Amino acid sequence: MGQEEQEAMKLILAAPLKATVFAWNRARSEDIMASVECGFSFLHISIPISDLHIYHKLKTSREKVLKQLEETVNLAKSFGCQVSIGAEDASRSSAEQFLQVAELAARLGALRIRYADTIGCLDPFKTYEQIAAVSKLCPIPIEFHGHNDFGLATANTLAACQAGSQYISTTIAGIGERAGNASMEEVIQALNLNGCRDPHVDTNKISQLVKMVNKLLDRSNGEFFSPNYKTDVDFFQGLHKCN
Amino acid sequence: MLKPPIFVDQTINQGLKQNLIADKLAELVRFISEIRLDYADISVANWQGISRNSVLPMEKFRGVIEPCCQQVILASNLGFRTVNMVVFCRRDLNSHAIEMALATAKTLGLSVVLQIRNASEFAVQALIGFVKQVNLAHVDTVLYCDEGSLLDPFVTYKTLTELKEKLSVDLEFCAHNNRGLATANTLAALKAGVCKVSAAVAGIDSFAAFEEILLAYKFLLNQPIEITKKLAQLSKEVLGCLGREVPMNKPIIGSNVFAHESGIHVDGVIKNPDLYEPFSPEIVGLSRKLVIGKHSGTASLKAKFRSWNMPLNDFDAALLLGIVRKKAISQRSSLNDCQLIDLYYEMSGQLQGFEAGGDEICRAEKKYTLSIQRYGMANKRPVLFSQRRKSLQ
Repeated sequence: MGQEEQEAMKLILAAPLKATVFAWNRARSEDIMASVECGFSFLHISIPISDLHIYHKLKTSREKVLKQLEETVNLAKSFGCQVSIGAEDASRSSAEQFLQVAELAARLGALRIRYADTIGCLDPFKTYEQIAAVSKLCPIPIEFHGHNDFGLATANTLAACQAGSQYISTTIAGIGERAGNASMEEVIQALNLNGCRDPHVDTNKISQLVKMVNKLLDRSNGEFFSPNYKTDVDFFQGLHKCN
Repeated sequence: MLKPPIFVDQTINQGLKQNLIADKLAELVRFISEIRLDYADISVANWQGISRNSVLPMEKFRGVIEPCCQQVILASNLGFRTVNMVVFCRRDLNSHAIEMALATAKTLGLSVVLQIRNASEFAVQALIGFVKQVNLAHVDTVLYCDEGSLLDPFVTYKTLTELKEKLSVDLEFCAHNNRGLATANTLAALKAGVCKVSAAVAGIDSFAAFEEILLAYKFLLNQPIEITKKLAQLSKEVLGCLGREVPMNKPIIGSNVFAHESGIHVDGVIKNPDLYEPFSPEIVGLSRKLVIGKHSGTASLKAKFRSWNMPLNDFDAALLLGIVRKKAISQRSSLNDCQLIDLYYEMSGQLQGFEAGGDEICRAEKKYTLSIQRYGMANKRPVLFSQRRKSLQ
């Protein structure tokens, strides 16, 4: 973690947020130490779990990856940190491979495990099938993390919720690597469909927030949004009035 | 094996709504035909005044009209061979007027699509009740439209499967995207065996995005379908005709959807593109980009310079990374290639003429100390020193 990033992290921690802020870490001791030095007490530790990522990216073995996870979680715990585990590329892994990590995570005292559709290759039907299959047996809550490579991140996130995922990853305006992640405002609208309206979400502020992110990222020309974005926000405001 | 999809384009109609001049409209149709044009819905009211032009493929255009005899006759006179009659279901549905319009269309030898604009507001039984108020013998296709964006993919699948069983006419589906579910709902319709679906390039006007359905059909549903290698470029031209730009992160066709910035992603993509790409960028005519910014790692820098035949050593890469990150943060965006080269020469210029005695590690340490003074990189100590020390011990 660079000096500038550490400064940014400290600023986020110092901000008067209602949210619990997690620092994202690879399963490496230097990442954990950097997060702890910034003052984080909640750490997210990510490992890849598909054969492709383990053998082609890390060029190592599954056993070694799990051992590394165990060591880094223990290191984080030694500083009194709470930990959540990330299973990168879970959508291209088997249910057994995911559950193996989930069981280890539970044994190590992790709060939850993230099921990441790293390259956005799920459709809602597959998402439902896969999350339903693992959520029955998973000892800790599952968080779903969707990517938007085929424009399905929102639908997949909704399907994951319907299949038993208790936490979801979203970004405001859907910003993220490549085609982005599931956008918070769309997911909230999609969840409203099934009567899952979260009373804690202040719908009135969503469009303000989206505009703010847009402005901060200097994307006023709409680079980050679908061309129908304006309709979306208007629609959202319309919904708010109906509610 | 699913039935191959038939797309009903909504993009050309958007051009009409925007009052494009005839030449521009012809250009738009040409670009869309190059991508793929099965059918296109055209508002008859907006079409009036467009002179008959042999370039325009009238056989593929369906005239969108209200259920009224004059409009049926107008559509026929304008050269449409199919009409798309828009009906809103409600308790006091004027089935007599619809009946008359349908009969007129049949007399004129037109094919008829009966579009239920607010179909998703009703349960299947109620909807069938509405539809059966008119003589279905005069209807070729019933178009189920989710104008209020009220469906999710599972409801779409269940509803359309049930309707397909219970209605004797062909079914068609049109999704709306106000909740970001249009592509997913359209895929669900295709899975349910409804193969005629509405779409617009880049999902303009809140329709399902054509390119997303196309690629998801091929790669997620694993079905064979042809994809033009110029998809991204042609989509850009289409949006250009409509005075719009393709957002950089638009799935499938955005210029940045194959851009990789974070160290972990770039490192992976260099080793094997499958790690972080769902399909090869060449399929849609895009190319992979390594973006250098505040999330970059040394692997990205080394790969970038390698591609310019200027291989960087570990030390220079670590040093340059620190400078690059500072620059990216201060300008709040990634760096372009020119900036990167400039920074590299600036860095090497600073370090030129620097001669230090001692062994390799000693020289590197001195060079590093100098760079701290120059660039204020207190915590940018390259990890490689400790690794080298270990290997020397």
